Amino acid sequence: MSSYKKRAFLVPIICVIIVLSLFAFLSNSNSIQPLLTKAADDETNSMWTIGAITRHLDCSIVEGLSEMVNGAEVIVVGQYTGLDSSWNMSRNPQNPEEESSKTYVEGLLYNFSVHEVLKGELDSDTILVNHRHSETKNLIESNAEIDSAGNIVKDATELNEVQFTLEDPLFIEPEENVVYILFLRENQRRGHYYGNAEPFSMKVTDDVVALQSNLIEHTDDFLQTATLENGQTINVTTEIGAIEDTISGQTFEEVKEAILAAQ
Amino acid sequence: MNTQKRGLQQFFIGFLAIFCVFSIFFGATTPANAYELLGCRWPTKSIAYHIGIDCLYEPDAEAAWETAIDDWGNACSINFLYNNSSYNCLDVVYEEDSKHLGDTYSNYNTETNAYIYFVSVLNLAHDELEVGTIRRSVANHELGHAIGLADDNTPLLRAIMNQTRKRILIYKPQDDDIQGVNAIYG
Repeated sequence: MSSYKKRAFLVPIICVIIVLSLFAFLSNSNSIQPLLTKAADDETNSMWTIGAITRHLDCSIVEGLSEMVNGAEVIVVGQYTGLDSSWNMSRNPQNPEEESSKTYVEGLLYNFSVHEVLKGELDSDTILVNHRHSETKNLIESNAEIDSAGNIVKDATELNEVQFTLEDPLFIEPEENVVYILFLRENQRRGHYYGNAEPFSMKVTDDVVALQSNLIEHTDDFLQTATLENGQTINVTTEIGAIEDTISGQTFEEVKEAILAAQ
Repeated sequence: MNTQKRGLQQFFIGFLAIFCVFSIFFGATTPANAYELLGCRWPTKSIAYHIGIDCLYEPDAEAAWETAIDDWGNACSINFLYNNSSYNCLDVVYEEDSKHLGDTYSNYNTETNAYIYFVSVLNLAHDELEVGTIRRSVANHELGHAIGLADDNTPLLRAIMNQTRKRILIYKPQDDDIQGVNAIYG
């Protein structure tokens, strides 16, 4: 091959490679998001009022079936048979036998009839399974002044405590007469069971398994509006990361075999 | 002379080809600058806080908050300064049966997108928080939210703001988190 032909052959290839490299680099770099165009950069005092609320969780998330199996003490197959009772999941940190005096986190205890135990041991074929349902928070509205760093610079002369209740964005109401596979831990103090990571439940319909979680492929934050006791509404944004579903669509037998193999 | 020129040409082409292959490979596999921002910020880099009453009875949790405050202070230009008259609060809760390891509520001004106050808590009822390194990891994650960083669960992303991180291994702010803070506060 002559030098000219070689060059004619190599130059376009190199150009394509350079363009691809640039594309890979640029598409991978986050462009700095336009933000805070309105943010106050000066250190002026602000009146303390209830504006909008964002809420962020560091939530225990398991990825894939093997992590779900490893994280569970007990894995059961069965059906929900109805709501048993509700309770305050928020306890006094100094004495967990007592309810918290600050927050009410409603847990709903459902009766669950166990058909089969895939991991662990159970004394009874009926258990109670807790689902976190909602949360009631207290906010203090006052006319105190706080500076831009969050310091109170002028004490309040008027103070008003208001409450709002939010349904847990991860709550999915269990269906009766439907088969579920649940990945559970035991609450040693109270004897009932719960899922300590998200997701912890699979629904079996026509022998096909579907993972249960509001985080599956969700891309936006959970936006909720709460009404305060005084009638004022506030926007609450709850941010929890998404999870990938690699399980749904498999048959019950396939999932059962994978659960047994993962132990 | 001709041989020297051709050698140089070949060296240059070879170098370029290797550089491009590496760029494509790392560009496609390493999520650089993956941080996500919440769109709110503090108007200042010095943010006040106080330790909540319940946390004062839990020395391990208090130590986790203090260590996390040092971690952020060492990693970037944000300083958390103790001030008992601050409404910003670092505390604990004891929520049984919960998937929540930590939680941050922030109140912000919708006109200016400036934070007004935040309350961050560690959930001591979660058995994972019995491990000191995990308490530190969760405390750092919550402080990241308090200053304006969002969660980013990009698979394999090494960031304190990744909820799927191995908390025992990633317990303080990483490069990606620091870049996020720099994007907000400069």
